[in-house]
Amino acid sequence: MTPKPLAQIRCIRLDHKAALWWLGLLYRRPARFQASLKTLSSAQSRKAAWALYFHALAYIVGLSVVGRLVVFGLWGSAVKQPATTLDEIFLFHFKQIALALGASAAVALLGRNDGSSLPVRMGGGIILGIALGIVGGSVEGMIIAIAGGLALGLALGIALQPTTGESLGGVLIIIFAGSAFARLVEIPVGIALGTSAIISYLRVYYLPVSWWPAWPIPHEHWYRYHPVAWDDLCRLPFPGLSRLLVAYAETAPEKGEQEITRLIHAYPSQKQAALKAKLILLARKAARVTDLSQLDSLAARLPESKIGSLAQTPALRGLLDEIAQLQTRLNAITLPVLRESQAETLLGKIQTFRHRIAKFRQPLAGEFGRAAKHWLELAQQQWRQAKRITSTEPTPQVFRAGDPINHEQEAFVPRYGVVGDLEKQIMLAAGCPGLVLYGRRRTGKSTILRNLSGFLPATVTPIIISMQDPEAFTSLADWISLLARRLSSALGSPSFMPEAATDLSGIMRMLAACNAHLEETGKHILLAFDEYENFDRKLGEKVFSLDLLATLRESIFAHRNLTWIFAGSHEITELKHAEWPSYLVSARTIEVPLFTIAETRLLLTEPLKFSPLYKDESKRPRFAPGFWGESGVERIQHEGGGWPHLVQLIAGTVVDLSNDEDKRQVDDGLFERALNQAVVSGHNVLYQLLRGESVLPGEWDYLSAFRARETQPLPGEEALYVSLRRRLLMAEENNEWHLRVPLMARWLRQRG
Amino acid sequence: MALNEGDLDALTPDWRGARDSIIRHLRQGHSVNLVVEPEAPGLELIAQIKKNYLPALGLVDLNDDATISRQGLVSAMLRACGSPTLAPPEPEDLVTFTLELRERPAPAFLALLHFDLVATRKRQYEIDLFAALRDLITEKRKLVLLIHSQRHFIELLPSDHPLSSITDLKTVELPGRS
Repeated sequence: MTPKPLAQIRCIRLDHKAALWWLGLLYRRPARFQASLKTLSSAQSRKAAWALYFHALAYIVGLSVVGRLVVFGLWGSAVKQPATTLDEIFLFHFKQIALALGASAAVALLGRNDGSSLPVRMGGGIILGIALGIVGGSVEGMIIAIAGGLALGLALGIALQPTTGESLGGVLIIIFAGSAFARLVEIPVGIALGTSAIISYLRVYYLPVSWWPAWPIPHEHWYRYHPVAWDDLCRLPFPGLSRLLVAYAETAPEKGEQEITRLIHAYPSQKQAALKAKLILLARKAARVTDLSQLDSLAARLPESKIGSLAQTPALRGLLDEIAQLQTRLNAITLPVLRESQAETLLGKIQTFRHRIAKFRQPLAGEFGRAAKHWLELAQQQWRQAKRITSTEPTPQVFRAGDPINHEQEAFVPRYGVVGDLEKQIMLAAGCPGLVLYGRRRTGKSTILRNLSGFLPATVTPIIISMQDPEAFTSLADWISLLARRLSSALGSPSFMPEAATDLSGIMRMLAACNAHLEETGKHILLAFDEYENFDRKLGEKVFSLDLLATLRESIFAHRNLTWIFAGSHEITELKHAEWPSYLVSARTIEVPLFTIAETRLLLTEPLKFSPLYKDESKRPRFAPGFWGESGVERIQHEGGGWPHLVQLIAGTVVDLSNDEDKRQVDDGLFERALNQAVVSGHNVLYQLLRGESVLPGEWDYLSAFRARETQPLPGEEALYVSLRRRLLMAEENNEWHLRVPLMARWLRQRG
Repeated sequence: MALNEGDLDALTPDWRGARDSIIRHLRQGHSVNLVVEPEAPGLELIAQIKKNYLPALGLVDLNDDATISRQGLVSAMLRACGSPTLAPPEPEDLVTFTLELRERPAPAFLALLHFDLVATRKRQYEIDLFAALRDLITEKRKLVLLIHSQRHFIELLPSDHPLSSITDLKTVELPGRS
């Protein structure tokens, strides 16, 4: 119901319903009444008070008359001045009711009409009027006490409403008042007054009727009739309320959650029931998830308390986080054999959870026990799916061409030569003058950077930022913010506040502070920027300024425990938009070479040797050299020219074909088919390495001539000669060149 | 002419081979460039893959005028990934797109149809867009693309940029109807 505003209530019949609504609000939600009153001027408040009192008058009189009939008629209570005639009786009662109304109006309407005292006076006045109207003229203390108690209790209920949860304070006040009455009047009067006041103050009279919406089963549609739904001053907890709230929220989720939130934040006496309902609802939501990685976000929302079952929330949260982490890791794994192993671990974790949750208190044990049953089904489903794939693909596909390799789950071989050079430079006592990690495209630079952890000393923390990440290249402010956040996260110290670095001077201050911290702790940070050519492009677009390069130069010289490394397929002399050599004046270049035969052999026979995910060594995938056929490893190295991407491409295609054809060993026919398929599926990379990088005049013409002939005389032009050598495409024999990588020659013949 | 599923299955081994290769590559987390000859039922193939094998595959058709601008394309990709997030104006659109996908537990699968139109939109879809896509595909592994085109993807990219392009797309070719 949308009532007429308080200021507009007038003493007319049409406003009677609205006036009653406001009087009801005064009883059940005095804080809201008070808030409305505070928006009115003093004159408006006075007018509203008079109007409300006017509309209440009929009820005061009516209840007084009915009450008097009961007290003096039926019960026969004694009066101070017994009357003999009907006129005298009528006059006596008329006077008493008039006196009661006078006292009531005096309390309700006299005094300041501010927001804080008017509700108390209005409530107290009306109740007093009814009480006196009923018992006025009686000489029986008990009746007076009960009436006074009710009046006092309800008035206190309104007066003490700001401390709705602090029942103890209100009860103490009532006990004090009761004691005072007992001392000043009579002991039974004080006791009766105190008892009835406590009953009305605590709203004890709701208890006998509050069970019916929640018993024996909760009736969610009846929630709105439950006292908690409409009266803010119920100071005692209600049995079954949490069950009723759960049922309500499951029928009307939005309204239900709003109501639970309201009770948690604004209704201290019902907070525990609301928290319990919230917990049950979250547990049921957890029982419906389709991806167990969502459990950590649900766990984060679980309510906590220092008492009861909610005190076990932190322990439960820890268990849920473990399951979510395992599922997150499982989601990131594409390799079926590893998925099977990870799904098995997940299954075990959920089974352990079921055992442990059974020892928790209710409702945690029951609700999360049921949820765990559903999670177990999800995990079993994933495990069966992975198992089915591994059984149909007996040779695990672990080779991956193109992406930076994740050594946990994909074929990986550490590039010890490059990592060793890096380590030497990082540990230079005089500080490293900056590094350029240079290599042709698809030689594994990004893979090296992303797998440095575990191969560098433990005192070195690598931070890798791809300059192809929009957060890094969209603006200078974005780049600064990203770097600051990554530094702060790597150092794990809240004292390095990334938000303080908003410009170049800010990031320089942060770098200096990080360096000082690293010096103190004897540690180093490797700041690696992959695809660093994008710095140059953004300088050309004026998104970055030359001041950035000056800042980098300053940090390289000043911060010896920070090593800056720029990775890309261009040397700094090839970049066009800035004088890079003058900014990275002493930078050393580390070149990423192609695979040696030893590296290819390790990759092809023990592709997951460095994965930490295999606890059981017997399950770690290995390839016997015989799998690749006679001299198969050497042949793959030869066909791919040791180019890391091409070696992975050929190996991956061979594995897919052997699975398709259900072969346990590669033969010549399969190998040939794999090479033909590799030039199709690897068209993009081969096109780019051969044609896309041919930028000099005549360069592509020279290369494309290899379609028709095996060898050619060396190119006459010096620039062409240098470019083709630098691109690692040529091999010399008898003063003639041929394509060094047979797979490239094949692509050229078939598709170039 | 649209084909029904029965017609499609009755097609050549080339067609079935293309379908199986695409499904295998996508399931392995590799992005794919489906190069179709004129008259080849590439769109029907993608529709069947979505229906029968990969319901999570979102579709973005570059024929839709709304995708002409970069922001429009990014908005369409977000929608196809099931995100209610609206792409802000450039250059923040790419940041939003990256953040949205990065927060997901598993990679999003997205088919970009009629990708040849990229060649006519070089002014709108400049290097930053491809850099961001590459970052999501290869570095963050939060996006798996199925690119439908008549020319090879690599030939459609801006040719003069200094970055590594998205070269790890697996190429699958679908011959025309004979």
